[in-house]
Parts: sequence; C-alpha cells; structure tokens
Amino acid sequence: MTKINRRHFLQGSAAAGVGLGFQYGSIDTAFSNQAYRGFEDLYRKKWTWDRVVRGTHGTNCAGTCAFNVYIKNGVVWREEQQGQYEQLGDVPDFGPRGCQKGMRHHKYMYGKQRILYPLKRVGERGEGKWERISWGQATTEIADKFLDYAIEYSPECISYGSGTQMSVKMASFSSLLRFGNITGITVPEFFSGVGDLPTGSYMTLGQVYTGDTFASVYKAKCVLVWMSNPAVTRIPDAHFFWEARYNGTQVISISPEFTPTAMHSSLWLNPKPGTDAALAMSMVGVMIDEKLYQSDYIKEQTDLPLLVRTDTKEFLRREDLSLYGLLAVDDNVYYMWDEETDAIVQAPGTGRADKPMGRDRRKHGTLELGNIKPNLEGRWKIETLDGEVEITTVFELLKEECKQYTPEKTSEITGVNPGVIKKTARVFADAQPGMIYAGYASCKWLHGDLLQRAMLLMLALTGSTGKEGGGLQIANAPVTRGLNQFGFSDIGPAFRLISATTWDYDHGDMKQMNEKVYGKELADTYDQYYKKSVSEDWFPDYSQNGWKMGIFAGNNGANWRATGSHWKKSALESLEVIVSMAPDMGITALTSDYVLPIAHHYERNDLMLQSRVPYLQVLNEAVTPLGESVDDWEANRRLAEAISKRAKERGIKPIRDVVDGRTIRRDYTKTLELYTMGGRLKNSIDVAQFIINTSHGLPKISFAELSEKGIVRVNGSDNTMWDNEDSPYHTEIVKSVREKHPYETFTGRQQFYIDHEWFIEFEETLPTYKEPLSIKDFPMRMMMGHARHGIHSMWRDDSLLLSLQRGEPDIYINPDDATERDVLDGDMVRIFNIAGEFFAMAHVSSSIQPGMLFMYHGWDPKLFKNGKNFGEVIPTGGLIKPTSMAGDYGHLGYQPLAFAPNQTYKDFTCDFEKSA
Amino acid sequence: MNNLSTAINYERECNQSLRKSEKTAESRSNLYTYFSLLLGSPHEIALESKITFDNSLIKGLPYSFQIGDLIEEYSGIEIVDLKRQYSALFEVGDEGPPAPIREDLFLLQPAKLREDLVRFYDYFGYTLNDEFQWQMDHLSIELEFMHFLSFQELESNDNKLSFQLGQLDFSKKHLLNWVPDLSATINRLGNGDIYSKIVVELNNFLLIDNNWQKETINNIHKTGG
Repeated sequence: MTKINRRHFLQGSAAAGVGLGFQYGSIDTAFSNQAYRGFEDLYRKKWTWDRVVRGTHGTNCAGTCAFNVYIKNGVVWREEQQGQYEQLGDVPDFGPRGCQKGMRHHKYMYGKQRILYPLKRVGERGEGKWERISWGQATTEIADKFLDYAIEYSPECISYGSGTQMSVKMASFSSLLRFGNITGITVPEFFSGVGDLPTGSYMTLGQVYTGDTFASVYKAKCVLVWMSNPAVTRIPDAHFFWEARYNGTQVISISPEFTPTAMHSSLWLNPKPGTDAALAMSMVGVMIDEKLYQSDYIKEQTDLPLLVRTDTKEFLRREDLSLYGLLAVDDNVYYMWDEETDAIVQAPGTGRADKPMGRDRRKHGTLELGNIKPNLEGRWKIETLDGEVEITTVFELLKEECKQYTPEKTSEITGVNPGVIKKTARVFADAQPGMIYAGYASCKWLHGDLLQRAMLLMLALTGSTGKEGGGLQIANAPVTRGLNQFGFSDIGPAFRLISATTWDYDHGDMKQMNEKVYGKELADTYDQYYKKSVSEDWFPDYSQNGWKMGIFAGNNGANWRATGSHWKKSALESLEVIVSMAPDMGITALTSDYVLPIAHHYERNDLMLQSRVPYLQVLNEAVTPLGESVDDWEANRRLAEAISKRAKERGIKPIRDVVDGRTIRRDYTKTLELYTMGGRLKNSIDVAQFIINTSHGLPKISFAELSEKGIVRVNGSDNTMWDNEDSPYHTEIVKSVREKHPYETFTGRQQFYIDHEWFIEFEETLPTYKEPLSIKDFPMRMMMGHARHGIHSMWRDDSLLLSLQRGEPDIYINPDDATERDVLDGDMVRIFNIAGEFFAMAHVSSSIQPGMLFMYHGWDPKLFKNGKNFGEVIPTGGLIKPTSMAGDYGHLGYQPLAFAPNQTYKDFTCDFEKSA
Repeated sequence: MNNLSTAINYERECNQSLRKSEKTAESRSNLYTYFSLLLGSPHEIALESKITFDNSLIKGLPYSFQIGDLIEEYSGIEIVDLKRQYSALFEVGDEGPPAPIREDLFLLQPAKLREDLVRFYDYFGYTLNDEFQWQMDHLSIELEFMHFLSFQELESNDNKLSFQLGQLDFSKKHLLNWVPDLSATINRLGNGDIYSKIVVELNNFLLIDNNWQKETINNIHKTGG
C-alpha cells in the first residue's frame, strides 16, 4: 500500500510534465485501484464510525442530555441518546434524554449561520460587510481598545455580557469569572437581565434556588403547572408529569393559552393574562375560609403568627417596647401572642444578626416553638413607648386582604369560574404535598414578585414547602464553590457583577422610554426610587464611567432585550467598540465591530451541571473546532495574551482600581500570567479538572474518566429532593423545615409580610394582586414563551426545524380577533404599539383567548421582515419595580443573582392589523 | 443528486479511440488543478508563489478552452484583496455567505450529500488532511478530486475505466449538481470580482468537459438488447 501525498504527487506530476499537485489530501493506492463500474459500488461497503464520543449540548434548556456523537473522517454525522441513566429508587428514570434540537445538531453545526473565522466589520454596523482577519490581528486590535478605555476611564466602562450559552458550561463560565476578576471589567448578569430571577421567592424565603430534581414531580400529589409549558420546554423531563398522573397525581395546568401541557393535564385553568396573582390569592382565601391550612406548619415556619402594629403597619419590634430596644443593633426581634400566657412572646429564631447567610445558620437558633402556642388570629392592645397601640397577627391581616379575592370577585378579574377556583383550592389543599411548578414567566411580570409570594403562601398554608414532592419549583443551581474558587484565586474577588437590568437602565436611557410609553408620572416615580436606592448604597452604581466597549459572549443580547430598538439605538450602537464571541451569526454579532468564532457543542471540552437532573455531564471535543473557532477558555486566553503583550509594548503601568470599596492594583502586563495561573492551566480540560477537584458535591473523577462515561451521578442525590448537604445544590429550605434552622430572611421565617417603608407605600406588605400595565388604546396583550423548536435563539433558523413549523416567525391569534380585523390564517400581520412594530405570519388558533396574542420566543430579528422582531413592541426594559430595589432591610438589598430587579417583558399591550 | 438508474440496467465502457487518455487526461487533470487552486481559500492555501499559467500543460485538451487570461488577472491581484473578495463572496455574511463555496451549504444541507462525497473519496482512496475534513464539500476539494481521478486515468494501466467512470459520475452527481446554480447566483449578485469570473468560467468548463466525457462512454445493455 502506498500513500500518495502532495510531495509524491508533485514528483509524479513533474515526471509527467504537470508540475501541479494536491493541496488538501493524499491518496492511498491500495483503495484507488479498486474497480469502479457505477455508483452502487460506493455503497457496497458498510458505513462505519471512526469513533463514538460522549457529549451533550451546552445550552440552557437545562436538559444536559447524555448523547453519543458519531464521528467519521473528522466529521460529526449523527448523534443519539446515550440512554445509560440508571433506575433511581421508586421514581421513573431520567433517561433516555434528548429532543429534536439536539438530534439535529450534527447538521446545524455545519450550517450557513456558523461563524468560522475572526471577522472585522468593513461596512456600516449591521450592514453585513465583513473582512476575515487573523486571531492575532483581532485580539491585538481589541486589546488596544481595551487598554485605551481601561486606562483613560476605568475597566468598569467595558462590559462582558455572558449569555446562557456560555454560562451553563462550567469551564467556560469560570474562564469569564477569572478574566473579569483579573481585568476589572463589568459583567452585567443576565439572570435578572432576562427576567428570570425569582425575586418573590427571595423576598419570602431568602432563597431563589428552591427547586428539586424532576423526579420530585412524581412524588407530588398535586402539581400546579403554572405559567409553564414543560411538554414543549422540558422535552426530556415532561414524562415525569405524565407518569405522576399514573401515580395518582393531579396535574393542573394554569395558563391563558391552551398549551401542549394543558392538553395532557387533569384540569386546565385559563386566567386572563397577568391576573394569576388574583387567582392565587383567591385560592389562599378559600383555604383560609374553609380552614384547609396546616396550622402547626405555619405557626412554626412562617411569619403568619408574628405581631404587627395596626397604626404603623410595621412589625412589633423590641424598639417599640423598651429603651434598650431603641439602642439595640439587632432590630429583628419579632413577637407572637402566646395563647398559654395570653401575652406577647419573642418568636423563636428571631433576634439574630441581619444576614445569617450560608450553611452555618444553625448557630442562629431554632424555629422550634417549644412551649409557645402562638395565636394566628386576634387583636390586642398593648403598651408601647408610643403609648397604647393595637396589634394583630400577619394572619389576621392576610384574612382581611383575601376578602377582596372571593372566588366570585376573582372570577370577574380572571375569567375563571368561581366553582373551578374553589375546586382547585380544595384539591391542592387536600393533596399533601402540593407542588407549584412555575415557569420563569412568573418572574417576567412587573408584579411577578407578588405572584410568587402568593404561590408560596398557598404552599405554606398546605405545609408543602420543604417537603418531598412539594414546594415552589422555579429555579435551582449548583452551589458554585469550585467556579468561584477558580475565578477568584490568586487575587481574591475583585469582580464587578451588576444586574443587566440596572446596567441597561443607566446606559440605555430607559426613563425616556418609560415616559413615552407609560407617562411622565410613572417614569418620574420609578426613577426617583431607582436613584434613591443607588444613593443609599442599596444597589451599586456602575454608571459613572459610561459604557464604551461591550463584549458579548454566548449572548445574543440584542435579540432578547425588552425595548429592542430603543436599547439598540441608545445603548448598543452608541458603544465605541462591540465584540461578539459566538458560534453562530445573530443580530448581536451582526451589529458588532469584531466577531470571534467560538466552538460549538461537539468541539469543546467542558462540564455541565444542572439541578433538575442529578448528573455531571461531559462535553467532549469530538471533532476539531470548525474553521478557526476556539472554546471560550481559549478565546479569553488569547485576549489575555494580547492585553499582556500590548500592555508591555506600550509600557502601561499598573492602575489603581476600586471595586466595592476594595482597592485593587491591576497590572495588565500580568493578565495572561494570572489568567493561566502562571502557565499551569493549558486548556479547558485543566479548568474542568480544577472545578471537579474543588467543587463540593461532585464525585472526584478525572476528566478522562468522565469523558469515557459521559455522565456521573452527583453526590447526595439518592433522594428526589435536595435535602442532603453532600449534594452540590442548595439545601437551605429543607434544612429550615426539617431541622428548624431559621430562614435567611429578616424575620428568620417564611416571610409574607414585609414592613419596609417602600412596601408599605406601595401597599405590598402582603401578597396581593395588581393589574398589569397596559398601553392606552392598544387592546391586545402579547404573551410569549419558550419554543419547541429552538433553545432561545439557537436552532431557530435551522432549515429542518423550520420545516416542522410555519417556516417563519408566526403569531397566534384568536379567531374572533382575526375576523374582526379581516385577517386569515397565513396572512402577514403588522403588530404595533407606540414603541414600534414588527411583522409576522398570522397563526389563527382557538387555543388563544380573545384579547391576547401569543408568540414563541427566540426568533432572531434577521428572520423577520425589516430585520425587526417582537422586541420592537416590548417597551418594558425600564420598568424597574421600586420594591425590587429596596434595601437596608435584613435580606433585602443587592444580592447578586438573588435580589435584583428583573428586566420585565409582559406589562404592555399592542394591536395588530393585516399587512399589505 | 441526479438519478443514475441507467447504471443498473447498463454496463458502461469507454471508447478509447475517442477518449485518447494518453493525450487528454494529463491536460484535463491540470485544468482541474488550475481551477482547484484558483478557488482555494487564499487564507488557507499557501500562496507563496502565485499561480503561473503554462499553456503547454493543457495543450492536450480535447476541446478548446482558454484560462490563461483569467489566471493572469488573478495573479495580478494583491493577496490581501484576494482574501477580501474571497471572504465576502464565499465565506461570510449576515445570513451566511452570499454564494457558499461548499456544495452542502449551497444546496441547504440535503440528506446524504456529504456521505456520498465521503464514499467517493474513500472508495478511490482520497484522504483529506485533518484540517480540511469537515469541508469535504468545498468546491476546491471536489476539483482536486477530479484532478486526481483524471491523473490516475493517465497513470493506471489496467483500471482506466474505473477512473473514467468515476469522473463522469462524480461530476454529474456533484459538480454539475450545484456549480451551474452557483454560477447563476454569482451572476445575480453581479459583483464582477475575480472569483465571480472564475466560477463562471469553471461552470463553462464543467459543462464542456462533462459533455465530452459522455461522448466517450458507451452504455451497453446488460441483457444484450
């Protein structure tokens, strides 16, 4: 057998007088001399694989589905579900896992949207004219700009926005943490930025990570699937809901539109969009009226028995009772009325330091009542330093609040029949435990916090929070100790992390948008509270140095932001330099000055760890990254290298930088050295191994072994819930319920009453219903949800997946609304309000209520007529709810990724018409 | 891909008196190479020495075809401009490149296309270097494969027919399956740059060459009918 390569061929060609040869390959003559008579000969030999590699898709569907990836000739040809998840106790298995998007990736990764080379803009921004440049040129030019701004202004004026594509991959996200910590750039976090932060959960429980594994659904007796559509959005795990029904679980779907999840549920409630909190409060009222609540649970675990002054609407505190209290540092002593002694008594677990964070809360007392028998109901008069005042319980105030939400009155608000409200409340109260599986949509309303607080109230009354098969299931995430250790080692935390919501407010002129859409009064009021919060240092202020340069990684930020064009014009396009690091071309990359090619899912080594599936999942570099793409670690390393090199060449001296009061000396000549830990870290495998070695709850396994296995069970995951401190997840709530550790709230309890002055001003001391905002003269409320055929903007432009839908962006319209406007199914319609307009195909469907429109999200603007998507009519980017920026109140105050204002997406209306 | 059902009922043979491999194969092979080089990415192919045209290398073509002026024009362009023009036309764009230079991309990723290419390459022992494997459908690579097949037609003593039929089938199933449309797309774009001219000329060449190939191959009915 002879291999003919370029050299051989040139020799042979030269002998024949040709002088031209191979550029791309070589010839194996043992094969080349086979007889060929027709194309059938090509197909006689069985197709075989060079190798099969474990992998998954590093995207934020929270699936982390174990796949086998099939390779031949350096190309991925197909993938299939690995299917090696074991049986876990008495619940259904997690596997096989996967969906049509993942099964399509072997094609998509080679698609035309793929960014293969570093690009530099040569036309106008967004014009699509590019020059392919080398990595060296790109990183040198970016590094020079970086240094210019960092030296002249502050590294604060350079943002590094990470999206979910990057952040769910642990090594990749760690590389951002480390790069950001070393350089001092600002990282606007997207958790609140996309409106996914369960703020109401934090207000109530001091914790946003309350979710268990998906198998816990099977243990519930009743699941309210609320503002969520797992049949579409959680394809690998939706089976838990349907299997639970075989187990006797009532699965009740609550959504304004008839979803594929509703189709399979026991019951479907369809409240009018945005009226869900009224529905929840009505069910709370039914439970209270009919005494369907778990009295012992709420007395011990919640603030419902705590005493409140009726004159000030504030909790009765020590300072009300004694001069000593006035001088006390800890103003968080709370009181109950003890039935036995008929007197006030200090509530157990209160009187602690302000913020007992972390897993050491046991030293702060217990919730156990001991001999105390708290009254839930009653009004008393007591002597205070202010004289005689009336006091009552939170529970009494709640009863009063619920009077406005009788099923009959609530029916007028929500459109849900009073009988159905009563029935659902009874079913839920009767089922022990009950679960509310709420989508992130519950965070995207301006008053989503009130809804979540009302949901938690239902769960508290039924004693469901903290029980196996119960509780509020919105979010959970690993306790990212290893990531932080990696990000902050050597120099300690010097990281600028800010909510993308406030970042956008500061830099996107959102007040002006509020004024245009919602009027001057609202705009001024919200702005006044915003400024007050910042001036009081309740929230950090990163607005002083401007925004000069934006790096977007794994983040199609110009696609998903509320207030699409307004933000693009007032913030994004005013940047002096925009850099995108992405695997695929989308609107953000298209608007950039530099685009750096990033490796796709099968071209990188990394780790995935989600909470709902108790397995650590590997991503393997099954094939060499296409073109000149590299993984995020390597992209950041190249940037770090260029910054160091240029800083040395330009003789840049260390700068003094202050982050959150801490002074940092930033020596940009050392950026690469610090980034690679002095050269010890060579690649993303080294990073992944560091994370495995240093993260709590992960089995200590080598990356090579994990690569072979694909998946490995995390520690402490024998149960369906996160109740084991050996696990890598948050166990705080369960600890409070089982071991009576006080909650991380101001009251140390599930806190439904918040007596912060702003909550009193806005009459939100208790969960309540507030009507969603509308835009005058625009009658249609547009709702959106995650799509079946894409994960955010990824795969939305895949040709096969498009062929399974309408092939282009479509919007669901009720037949009556369509008829009224002379619109037929398939017509192009114009959707508009005073903020803007976009065009989409009418999808006339009786699954949609009159008065509402529905659109699956993620469609990139480039897929729309005129290059403008739904963001044009969503004017909510500046709607920062004042109470979500409250501070100086126990647990309330800026807590990154826990308490920050959401960028909301729901409180607006629009209209539509047939388009020419 | 085109239907080749005739191959089921017919055996094929080459009319050597028309084919004259000893004279034509070398020149055709060289012409395929010229086009392969012209359409290689200037970012990836070493262009340390510009392509120089030697008319003697294609003097044995069985038909009239001129490429000298095109190569001369190409060689007169600075590499930086070649890179810019190549990327703008073939490699990058907001919705993918305006004229993708990969068959699979150009035809919107039809099923089995890349498998067919790999089967062709594997069958004839053509192995791509690691860095080019993922773009086995690149026009320059497909042309290099044709270069190889036609060169082997000259070199092979007892297996000429395999390489002759391989050329005919490959050009029909692949090159002619998309290059005419690529040429039309480029015409519509109306850039008028060097790469547009090369593709238009390539399309002319492929049509001429394929017609000539077909004339030299006879179909004989298997049952003697």
